[in-house]
Amino acid sequence: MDLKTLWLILILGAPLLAAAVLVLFRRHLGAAAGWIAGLGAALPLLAAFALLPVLQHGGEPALAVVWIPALGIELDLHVDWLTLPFLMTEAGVSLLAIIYAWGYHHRDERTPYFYALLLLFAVGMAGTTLADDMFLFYVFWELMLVASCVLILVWGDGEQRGPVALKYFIFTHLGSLLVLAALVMLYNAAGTDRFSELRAGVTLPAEQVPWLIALFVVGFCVKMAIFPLHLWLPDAHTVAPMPVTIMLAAAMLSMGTYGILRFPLSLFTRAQLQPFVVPLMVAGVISEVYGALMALAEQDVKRVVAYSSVSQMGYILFGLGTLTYNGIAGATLHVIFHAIVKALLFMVLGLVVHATGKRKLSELGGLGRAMPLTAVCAGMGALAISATPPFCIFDSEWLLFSGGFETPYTLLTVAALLGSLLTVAYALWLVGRIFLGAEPEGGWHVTKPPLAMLAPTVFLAALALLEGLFPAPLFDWVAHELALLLGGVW
Amino acid sequence: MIHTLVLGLVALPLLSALLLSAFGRRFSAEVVQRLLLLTVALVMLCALALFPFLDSQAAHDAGDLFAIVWLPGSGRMGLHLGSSGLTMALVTAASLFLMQLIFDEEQAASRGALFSAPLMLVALAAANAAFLSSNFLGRYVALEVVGLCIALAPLLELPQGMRVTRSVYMALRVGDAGFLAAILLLMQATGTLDIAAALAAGEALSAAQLAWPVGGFLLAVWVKVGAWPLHGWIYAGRLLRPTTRGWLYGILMPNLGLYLLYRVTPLLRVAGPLRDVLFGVGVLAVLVALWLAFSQRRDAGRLFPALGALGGGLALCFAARGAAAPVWWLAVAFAPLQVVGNFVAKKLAAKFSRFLAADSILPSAQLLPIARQLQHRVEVGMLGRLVLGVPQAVLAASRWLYRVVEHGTLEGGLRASSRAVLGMGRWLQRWHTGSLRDNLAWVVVMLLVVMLIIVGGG
Repeated sequence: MDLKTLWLILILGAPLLAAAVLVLFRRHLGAAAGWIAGLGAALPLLAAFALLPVLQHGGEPALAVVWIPALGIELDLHVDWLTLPFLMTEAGVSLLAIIYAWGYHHRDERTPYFYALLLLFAVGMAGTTLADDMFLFYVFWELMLVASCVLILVWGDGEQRGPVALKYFIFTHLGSLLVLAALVMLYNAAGTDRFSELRAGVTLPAEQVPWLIALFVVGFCVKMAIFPLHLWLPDAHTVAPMPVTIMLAAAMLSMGTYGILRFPLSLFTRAQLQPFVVPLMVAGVISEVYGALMALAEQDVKRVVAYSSVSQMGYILFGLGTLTYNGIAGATLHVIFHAIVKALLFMVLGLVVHATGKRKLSELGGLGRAMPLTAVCAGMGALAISATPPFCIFDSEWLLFSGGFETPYTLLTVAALLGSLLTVAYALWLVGRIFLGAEPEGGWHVTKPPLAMLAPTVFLAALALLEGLFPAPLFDWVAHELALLLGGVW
Repeated sequence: MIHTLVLGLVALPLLSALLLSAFGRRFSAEVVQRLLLLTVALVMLCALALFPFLDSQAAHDAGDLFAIVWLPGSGRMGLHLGSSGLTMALVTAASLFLMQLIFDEEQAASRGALFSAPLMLVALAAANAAFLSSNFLGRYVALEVVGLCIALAPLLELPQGMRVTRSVYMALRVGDAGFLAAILLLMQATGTLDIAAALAAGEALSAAQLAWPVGGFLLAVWVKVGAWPLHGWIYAGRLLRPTTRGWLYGILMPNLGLYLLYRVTPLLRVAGPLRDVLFGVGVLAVLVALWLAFSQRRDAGRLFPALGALGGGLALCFAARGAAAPVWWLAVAFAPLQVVGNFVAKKLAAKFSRFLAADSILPSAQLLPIARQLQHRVEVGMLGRLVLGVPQAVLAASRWLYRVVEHGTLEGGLRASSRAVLGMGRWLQRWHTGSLRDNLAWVVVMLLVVMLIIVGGG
């Protein structure tokens, strides 16, 4: 077994092992539970960075273990340039969310289970990106759902956490079933479930292709929370504890994008996907505008940012729908940059809620003096999500709209561009309402935020600026990824 | 030498802004004022010192200065020593210097200058970068920074400035959206973001290809010069201290808008039927600006922006006819005229207001009531409802969508489906024996057995 295979195993093995330790030795861990979880989340990120040079030298680390020979089922793990951006995003967000949880989560006898489930959630996401066959892909896809659902059910806020968890499970599971139907159809038609074999070329009956593409797209759009398949998201994000919300919004939503890239855009030709260009672009614009309007209508700070995710996923779907180099590159980069900025915004909100105990906009205001560092981070987050240069999201939106203007649908792209003004509106309104304006009588008496909550927030604010100023390395990764899509012909 | 002087145009104001931000609280308002004046004077000297190098071999050899590739695919972006850009940089810096001198007493007496001085220096640095930028992306970024500085000023100078900041920033972003669309479309059509190359290639494009980019540029210029009905952001500046209002709001952004119009005039020359539309729009802008200037002349805070919009409208008329020279002269003369106007307004003060308000300067006193009626009905009535009501309309639309679509239709549909499924489940339950719990337990056990068989068999 060589070093790169070891790193590959570590990506899934480390968090699984840490989760097992947390569960088996839960009574003896105390405060160490957080450290073990942090280690379990840090090692996969380290392993992902360790695999980067392997990819840069043309290698593609892989691991195949026979599991059920009678059914031809193997455990196939594989890292390529399509996997890497999503894997790093998920691993980075999971680590920061767990560090954030050190300060956010109130320790009790169930804390080891909490961290164990967070790690399982991370494993689900990592495994989804690493899986090289349909069976394993689906297993990890469902693991994501189950782990996050339990986290919402047990540790969610308020009496509604049960119904919300059920709604989240049923809704996203319906999407998963559509994906499963597509996977089964694909397997039956192609005779193989290995992604590497499917990418080499597969002949499918012409009448099945549109159905397959539609099933994949709709199924993954449920996970991406595209309008009108987004209904699970606002409640789930609002009720979930903040570390879980961060992972849901910043990492899990991107798995839908990964699915669209890994399946329809990798396996089918441009001609086969062409009928879906306009519907995808239109759906993207509608989701972008609708999510932003809902964010403006909300009064709960978490729901404002939750609907913002619906809007931002609309940008991504728009970019994917253009089927252009710039559009898809922009969509992939937007996944990464959105993860940074969304995690930042939720962390800021977590700091606000932790300090004041309030979540309604009407009860907040003038917090800038009492929480200056948080206010600065919030301001940076608002500017970033508004695509103000030189913050990172400007870079991805530049590519998205470039891609849109390369299509004949100029009006749609102009609509998407003008729709982005709504993003500016809700971002300014949210941050201005919380941190500026009149303080309550007597001023704010806020509790000092724990360093574990503040440090990742400041880190992400700085990262949003740095990634915006120096995006070249990420652009390079995405360029490699695009060689794997649509036959590599652009 | 060229590199150093060009760097000075951008770096000097930035360094000074940094110094004031970090240590400014230890200085008095007078010291802050002097530092600001010194910095601007040095910037002017750098600009003046660069003029001999224009069209020289040294400048030609230098090419694009400090060029970098920021976004892959966007080409190199740097600073280019061009006569028009340098002239605008000098004029803009000189206007700031003079405005500071005109309102020296007010600025020095106020602690608030401490906060607005760094902002104005950053805006000056960004404006110089915009004037000298050789790449449309670089210009866009620089204009965004200027816009941000303009929007942040009310936050720093007014007690409850957030609302003003929000509306100003939103208005400026509307213009920036137009600019972004225009440069992306132009890049798509010409394959380059280099300003000179793109504009040269753009002249060979058809009117149909130019329609969207020209529309985008028009929107950008419209907002920047403060033409009706997108002039609200400039009027918001009248609540601010004199130099902020007079220079940051009244001169800087309109100057940038006029310069942008001057640079893209070659495209308008070949825009075909669009030229007539643009000319009509320019005439409309002139007429409305004249009316606004006339009806609001007692208020210097509204008068000078209206005169600025008048200049913008005139420039648009000339640009639509492809006449770049008048546009250029308007762009150069705009800032000095605004400075002179502010100086006269301040020095004459009450006399100025009475002079402008006097009916004797009008050919006919009957015009004034008509103008006031129009102002009341159109500016306050119609505009107040239409343009200023846009944010309220958007909020109302979002609340309606939430109530009817999100909560009513979508969530309602989901609740109805859930009830239907539950109802079906209860109906089915009548047809099996035993308790639901026992049956479910059997199902789970059976599934586990099947899985064990599959795994064991593997």
